[in-house]
Amino acid sequence: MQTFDATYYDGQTAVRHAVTVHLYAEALDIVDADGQVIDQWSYQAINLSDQGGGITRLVVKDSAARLVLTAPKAFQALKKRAPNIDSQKQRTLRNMGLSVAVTVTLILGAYVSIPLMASAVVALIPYETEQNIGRGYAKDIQALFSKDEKSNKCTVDKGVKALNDMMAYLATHSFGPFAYQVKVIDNDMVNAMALPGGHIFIFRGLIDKAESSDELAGVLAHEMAHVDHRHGLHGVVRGFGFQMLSDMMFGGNVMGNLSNLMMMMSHSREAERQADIDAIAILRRANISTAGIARFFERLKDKEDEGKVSFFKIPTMLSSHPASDIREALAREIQSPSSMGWTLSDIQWQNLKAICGK
Amino acid sequence: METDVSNDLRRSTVPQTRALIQSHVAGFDLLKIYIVNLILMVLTLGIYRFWGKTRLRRYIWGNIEIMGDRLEYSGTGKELFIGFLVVFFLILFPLFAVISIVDGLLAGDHEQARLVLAAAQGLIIVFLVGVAFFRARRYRLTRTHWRGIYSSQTGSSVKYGLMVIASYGVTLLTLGLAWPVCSVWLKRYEMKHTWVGDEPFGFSPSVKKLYRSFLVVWAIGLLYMITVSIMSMNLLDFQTIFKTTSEGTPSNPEEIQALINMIFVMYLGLIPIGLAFLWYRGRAYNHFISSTQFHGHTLTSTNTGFGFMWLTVSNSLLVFFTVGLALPWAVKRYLNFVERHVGLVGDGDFSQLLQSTQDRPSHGEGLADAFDVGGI
Ligand SMILES: [Zn+2]
Repeated sequence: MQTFDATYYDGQTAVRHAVTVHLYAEALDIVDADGQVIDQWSYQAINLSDQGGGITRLVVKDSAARLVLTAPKAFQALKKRAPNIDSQKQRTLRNMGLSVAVTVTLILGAYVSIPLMASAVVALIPYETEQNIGRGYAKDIQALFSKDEKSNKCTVDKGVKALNDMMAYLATHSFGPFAYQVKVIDNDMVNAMALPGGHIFIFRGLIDKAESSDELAGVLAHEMAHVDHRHGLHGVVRGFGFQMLSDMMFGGNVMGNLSNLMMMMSHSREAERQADIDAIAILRRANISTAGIARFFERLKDKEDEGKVSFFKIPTMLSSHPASDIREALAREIQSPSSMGWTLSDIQWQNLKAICGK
Repeated sequence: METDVSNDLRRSTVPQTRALIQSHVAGFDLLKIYIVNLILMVLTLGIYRFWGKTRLRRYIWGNIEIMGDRLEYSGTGKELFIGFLVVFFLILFPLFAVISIVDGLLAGDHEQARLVLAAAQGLIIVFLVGVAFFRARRYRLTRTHWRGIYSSQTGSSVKYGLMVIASYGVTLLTLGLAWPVCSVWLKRYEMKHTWVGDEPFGFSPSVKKLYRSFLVVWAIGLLYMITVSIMSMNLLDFQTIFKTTSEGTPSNPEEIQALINMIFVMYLGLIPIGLAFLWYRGRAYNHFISSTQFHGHTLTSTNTGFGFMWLTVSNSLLVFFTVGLALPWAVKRYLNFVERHVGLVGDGDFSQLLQSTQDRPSHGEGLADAFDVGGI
């Protein structure tokens, strides 16, 4: 039988006991100076509290008592018998694994739950509020691309009139509660975006790229569908949720403001699908050929395959999720002879193309 | 001093000043912990902080010796993480979601209502910071063991949070003059609800004594405010003259000089104020410590205002010029300072002290984590 000296605290009083520890097969006995066994610890229940400066402090399950060892040999002898004693290194490794697992779980959990929560919150927000929020964002976007409202060149009267005519006609066939406002931004990007509350922005690059009024009408209908479904607001709420998560969970902004803005503006694949379905419905009701939008998407898709799509990855309908199954179906429709329906007159179309001046 | 824990405690019946604390913290050991923690924090986007904090505390507690026996920290990273989750999902997330939604609903033409909301939000945050501090203190105390018995804290964190709001409000309204009264009020609540084992602390500070030191700081602060406002008023005069005479680049050399002077005084003036405040804090700590009693003993403190001021300034410079690398040594210097200055008068016998019967919270510090209060 092995014995060694130790210090024992009984967990009931602040008395320090000088003791002798006797190691037996299943348990150790703690024996005081008078030779009395004052405590008995089963090896199974013993764990390490801390270790350092030549001192090892041991704890036993369901007890406040402590045993402090100073002789290194004593600890070695005990470690062989007590299977649950771990070292600081083992502890750090375990905590490391645990915290990595927790981090991954939190991130995955956030990506699943935040969009769901955002949908619930969006349902609670009145349309009027959404319009107020959208107004603010619209100002920000315009400020981002031009110094002030006056310096935006894309306000040539005839072009604006043609665009607004198209918008007004499409609006009579749309589904949503919002009044739409469409503006063109003088920028090369082939892009368009729908903000909360009905603000739609089209980049000049997209108008340049469009070969017919059907194509532009298709894009507009798609953006209107985003507005109707409140996808923009959903993005804002979702972005807010992620922002809060990154601020609080990770104790700082991990994603950065820019990526957060992108997160807010980008739509999910499901949202794009919804927008495509509704866009086609709007076009059909408005008696506009869907072949236009199909051709447009097809052309963009080819571009994308070449990897030449705009550098600025502002996620929008065009760049974020280009190949939904609806778009595939539309692509097939190109083959069928397009039925002629409503369209801008050639003059109107030329005016619209020149909305940013020449 | 070597800790010979197998020796029986020598008891003296004559009250005398004894050393209370001995620090065994080593700079390099601490640095190693800091570096491992930092690496793991980065790898886990910060989530490791709960476990890292625990590791750090375990080390520091375990290397602080009180009356011949080392402290023990028994908290775990898991408890901190659960505390964080509870606070995040049950308090912070719903609270700020509601505030944001209400703010959104008021957007547009309810500017006044939004201001009220913003003010309410500010009050809620001050309140929560108070609650967070008190709750974190409770968690830490119940995880601190000495000779096998643990410390604890009674009292209500909600009450403490309200006291913090009241203290800040009164201090603001009296231009800072009420601060010593408020700080004693808060400190007394903390200390009177602090227990080791089955016994609470006694605490009997004198506000009058604090004011003797505080008025010096307050006068310096007042002088600063008066100087800066006079200078800025002069500057305003210059500006009006300047605007009527010419438009464009500032040309008046007198005006430029006045502007430079003001900026100079404004920033440099902060240095003596900061130093004076540190001096006051050193003296206040001294007074608070010597006003503390426990188990028939009275704590003593020999630190001076200048001593504490120098410790803080030199530690800050040390950390600043080593880009944080010397932080462990700053911690070590701080602990050594406490070791040098804090003592105990009494017979040194704590054998009648019994185990605590207070409940211990099952998790902790969630709010403190969110608001970054509580230090280590
Ligand atoms: Zn889209």
